[in-house]
Amino acid sequence: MFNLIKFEMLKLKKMFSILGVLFVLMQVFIIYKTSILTTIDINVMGNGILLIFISYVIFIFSSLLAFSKDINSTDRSVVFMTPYSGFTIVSSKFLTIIISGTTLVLTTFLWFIANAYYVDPRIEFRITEYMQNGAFISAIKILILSFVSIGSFFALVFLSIIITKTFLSKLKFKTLIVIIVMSILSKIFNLIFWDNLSDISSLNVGIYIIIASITMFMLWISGWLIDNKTDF
Amino acid sequence: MEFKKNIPIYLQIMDKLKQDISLKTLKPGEKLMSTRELAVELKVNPNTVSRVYKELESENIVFTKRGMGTFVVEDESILKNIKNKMANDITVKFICDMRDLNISTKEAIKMLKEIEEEK
Amino acid sequence: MENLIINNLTKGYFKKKALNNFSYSFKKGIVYGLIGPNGSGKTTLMKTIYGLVKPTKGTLSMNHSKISYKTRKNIAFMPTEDIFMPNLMVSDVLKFYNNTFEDFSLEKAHQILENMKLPLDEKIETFSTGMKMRLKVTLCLSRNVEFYMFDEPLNGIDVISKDLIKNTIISMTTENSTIVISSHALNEMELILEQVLFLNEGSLIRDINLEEFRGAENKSLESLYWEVYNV
Repeated sequence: MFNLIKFEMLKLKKMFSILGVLFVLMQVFIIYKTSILTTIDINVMGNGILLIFISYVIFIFSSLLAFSKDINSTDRSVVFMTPYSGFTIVSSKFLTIIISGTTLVLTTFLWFIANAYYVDPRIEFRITEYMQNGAFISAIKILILSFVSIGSFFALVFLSIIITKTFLSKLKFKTLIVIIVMSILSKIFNLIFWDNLSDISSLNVGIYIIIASITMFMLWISGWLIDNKTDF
Repeated sequence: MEFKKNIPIYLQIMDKLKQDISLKTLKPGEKLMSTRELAVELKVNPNTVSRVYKELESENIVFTKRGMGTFVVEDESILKNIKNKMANDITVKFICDMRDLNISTKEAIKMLKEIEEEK
Repeated sequence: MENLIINNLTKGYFKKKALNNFSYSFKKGIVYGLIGPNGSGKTTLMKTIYGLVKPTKGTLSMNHSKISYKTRKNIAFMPTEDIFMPNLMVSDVLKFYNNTFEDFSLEKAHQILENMKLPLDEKIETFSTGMKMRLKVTLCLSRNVEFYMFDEPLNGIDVISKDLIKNTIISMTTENSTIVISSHALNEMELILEQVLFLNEGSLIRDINLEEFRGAENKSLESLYWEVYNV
């Protein structure tokens, strides 16, 4: 598994170097702006947030696109010629995304905090004040929920791509088909599991476990299809 | 070595080895190349070469010493017989081919003498 | 000694079957040729043996184990398609293969690459088609298994590399390994092949031992090909 993850990471080099360049440029811009201006310009941080948001979108898009290319292209990726099970292969791709995505989020978050402090040193006071607020716990809960949900989203896309390749490969407009399959699948999962969720305060570990289980289940089905039904 | 593709390859290799042995290119008692080496050199399947060595051994032209390789026999009389047999085979074939052209053996011999005089 | 046994393998439905009731038992130590026009099922057969294509009907077993991703440990396959992701260097791929397959020999791979004059430190995306083919063949030749499959291994390759590939295949032939080669270049492969399977529209139409055939019919493989496929 580790072998596969290392190999998958090689593919991401290009994307991360592009993002890296963007952030370095932004950093230079921030340093420049703060050194020449006498007043504190918070708008710069607004641009920073925008850049972070764009980088997340790029990351999600390119990861899913890479997965789709890997599965669908007539050129055969080396990974599917290995003696690993389909579940192992899909999980390695999933974990690669999780690991690199988490790294991306943490790095951009720290970068943002560091720059916010650099632009306006008074931030430190506001942050410590915020952390003692009860709303902080909710924020953490929402964060973990989003993290787990995005993970299940990726697994859902993986599964939809694989289902499309296995059963619906003769149809055109692959992307559209994948989106339709995704909607159907998510409707099914929602019907079974989400009717019971009321409000944020009732969020407990149980929900995380359910979503994580659904994610594992989708990855498992993907693996099973790859091993037993999908033609490469 | 160029092979005819419509005749069993192993027969052609056998003929070539027999020729080498009669012409003393391969000396009595000399070690032949290993199956694999000869296969790579001739660019043929090693099993074909194995068969060649086996058939030659059954004709007592070569012998195999386990773990050491395959060798040409030392017995000179056997080797002389090979040459004679090959020459005989060629002659018989010549006469048959000529008969296919409706040329009798007598006429064929006359043609041979004429060609010999020309040379 | 039989290793790969295929029973009534069918792929596809109705009239357009890629494989149609294909049955065969492959034996150890023999070099097989898979012959047939495009679309006759050669690639589909090889991919099914490697577990890339799933049968519609029928069974395949290697040493009594059902064909799956697991049997890839005992089978090496060289496909015709491109298998390399862009952005990779040759050394990356070699490392990956070495970590993935226990039987992979890095030394052998390096040796063959050197003989074929392929560089280790360049990105594969800069390679020509011929170079990519040579790399694919190298990866398959560097594995040490009992069943090898090469799908058109001489396509688009220069004369010197062809010779090298043929020589390596010849020297790899042991009593315990089975080699299956599909090729359009009959005259190139003819002397290496022992048993030839003729495919047409997914069915096995002829199974010939070449040397026996030459002895009995005084014909070459090429003339047999014309006979078989000339409708």
